[in-house]
Amino acid sequence: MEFREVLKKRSMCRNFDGRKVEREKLELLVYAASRAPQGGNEPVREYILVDDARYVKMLRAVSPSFLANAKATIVICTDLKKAEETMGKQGRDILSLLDAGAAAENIALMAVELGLGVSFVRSSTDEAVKSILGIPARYRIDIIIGIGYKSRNRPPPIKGFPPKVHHNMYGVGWETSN
Amino acid sequence: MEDKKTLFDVAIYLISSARDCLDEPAIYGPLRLLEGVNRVIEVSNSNPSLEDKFLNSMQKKISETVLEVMRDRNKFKDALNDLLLEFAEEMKKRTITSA
Repeated sequence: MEFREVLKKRSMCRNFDGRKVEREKLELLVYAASRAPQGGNEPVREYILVDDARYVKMLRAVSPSFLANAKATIVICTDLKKAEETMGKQGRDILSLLDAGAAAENIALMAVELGLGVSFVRSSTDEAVKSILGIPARYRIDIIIGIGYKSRNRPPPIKGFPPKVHHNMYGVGWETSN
Repeated sequence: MEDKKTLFDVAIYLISSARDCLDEPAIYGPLRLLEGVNRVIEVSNSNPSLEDKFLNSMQKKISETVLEVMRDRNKFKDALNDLLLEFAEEMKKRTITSA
């Protein structure tokens, strides 16, 4: 698939069918995430693959924005202690979060190639998520990604909007060539 | 096959939502409440003694209304008004019939 086609097809899915996501596909999604940058080239970002239906159900219960009935999830988290030691406060609070976002997008793009759908989830219920998955206190939950096969009955993707682009200076419009 | 939904599932969802609402945009509050209603209906669908045909028939509409908040907030408000009207009419029907 052409990369532009992948970009075009990338969307959030809010209704999955009952098929289980194969282990190999979950591993490929993590591979895609691992290709995202990590500030300072320090391994502070970690992934929890959740494919046990009981745990997915519990994550959904404590994550109100987890509206979709995903069959698996990938939780991206950052070791804040290690991030601060190696990259300082900026690395801990900003760079690692930007990098986690890039990793999540890589997962969303790889999902297109694998014929899967994803749904990004971010809630303020980190303590509950940590308790359920046994994540140590020094970690920050960056994003939870619901994964599954798209249902035929899913609602149509929400339409995006054209990017707001400035040319050389803020306020000077960029005229697109296509 | 989906597992049986319980009142506990709804309770923990509502508690999580209450916490989340402190940090989320205000417009997400109604969305969380609607999703809560959806989950109550899931419980009634899982338990024959709680089955309610009207609630069951409204589930699709509620799910569609939840998604509307992401698309068009004015339409979301209209959809909520419509939903409320349908529930009010149903309540009236039930109250008058049972009186």
